[in-house]
Amino acid sequence: MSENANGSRAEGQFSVVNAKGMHARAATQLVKLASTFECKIMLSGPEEEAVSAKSVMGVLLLCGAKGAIIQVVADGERAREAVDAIGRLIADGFGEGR
Amino acid sequence: MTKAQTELTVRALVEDEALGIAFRVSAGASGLDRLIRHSRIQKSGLALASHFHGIESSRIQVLGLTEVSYLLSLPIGKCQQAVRHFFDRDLCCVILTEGGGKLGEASAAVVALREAADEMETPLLVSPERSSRTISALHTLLDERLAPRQRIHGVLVDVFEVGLLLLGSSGVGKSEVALELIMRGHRLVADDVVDCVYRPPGMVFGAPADLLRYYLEVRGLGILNVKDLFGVTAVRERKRIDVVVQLVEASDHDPGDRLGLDERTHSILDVDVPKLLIGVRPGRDMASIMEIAARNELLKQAGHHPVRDFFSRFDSSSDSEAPPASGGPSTTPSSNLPPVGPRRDFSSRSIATPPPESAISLPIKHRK
Repeated sequence: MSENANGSRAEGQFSVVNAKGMHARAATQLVKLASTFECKIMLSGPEEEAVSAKSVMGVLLLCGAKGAIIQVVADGERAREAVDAIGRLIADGFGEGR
Repeated sequence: MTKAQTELTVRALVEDEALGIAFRVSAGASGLDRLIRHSRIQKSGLALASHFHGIESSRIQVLGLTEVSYLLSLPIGKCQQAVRHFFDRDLCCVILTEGGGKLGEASAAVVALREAADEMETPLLVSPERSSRTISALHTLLDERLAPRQRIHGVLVDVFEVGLLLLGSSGVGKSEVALELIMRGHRLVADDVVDCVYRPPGMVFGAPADLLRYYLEVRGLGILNVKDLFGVTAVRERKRIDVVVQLVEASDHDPGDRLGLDERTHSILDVDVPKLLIGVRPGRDMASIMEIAARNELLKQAGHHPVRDFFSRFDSSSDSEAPPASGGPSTTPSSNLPPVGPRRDFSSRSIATPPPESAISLPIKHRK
């Protein structure tokens, strides 16, 4: 992976708080949000290998249950912003409350 | 993106149904979480004679009839000592095959092995099969379970038995191209998440993640079950990756290779797979381009290189002022062409060159 000249790398770990976990609709929300960023964003869960945050199938595969820790790694333009935005979405329980 | 799984617990080995042999844990059960990291076993006869050179703790040790008969030939004290020193190597697991197991649990050698296994917390497994079958089954399973793996974001399709791995940023239309190809009778292997596994010698196979098998996600349509929609011939469980197709937006498409002479490669698990860069534009029939890419790859695998053949015409016409010989392209590589390394062993030009005319006409004359 080549380093983007004007980009950077950022990462963060977030715990899934909503009761239903990262189910289908939540996953779609995450993918929609991730797709608004140019940078490459990878997610990895407790068991599964890393998947692209812009791939519905990939994020569904992650299937984070409540309490699971999701690792977010972004690489490229506005990487920090992307990680923070995804972190907020997960921490907010995908807008579903707890 | 990558995470190579290169270890296996002894417990996972014993419980693996794909092995086809039911191992019995005879002793040392507390060490079942020890890790196996080598895909080859060791037959450890010399280690019992106190020669420990080459003994690796993370390799499975197999004791067959030969090894056990040696232990039985020793006086009981020496036998216990030999076994103790062997187990002192911090072994991940020791397997006693049929020959050794036949002796029964009461045999002095087996008792010594069990005691040492319990003491060192090294699992002692008993195989109901003879050594040759046990070792062959172990190697097959370990090759599978310990193979280097990598998960890739892309779509894998089987087009005319050629595995095309479509790569490109999200939204470039990988899944749409796959859907078009399926409509033309080709087969989906994996959408979005491709689990790649290395296979000697120098091959990479791709398969879907278990949960996503047969599913394809297309924007606007949602998640489709390809097997239900198109039937069992539209899907495939796994496929060797023969060509990587990098789809790029037309705007940032590097138009470098208009001729097809540059041989780009893409490295997956240290295997260099031929790569094509294809620009995506609205209205461009991507499925046709993919089909041609697959046909072209088949030609290359059969020893024909269409582009080199094409340019060799120019060479021969400028060399001799004469039209190219009808027998086929010249076998000398053109000096005007960029150097192209050999892609595959079997793609050497000697195979591609058709036999001389006399060789073809000879049998016909005989028939007359």
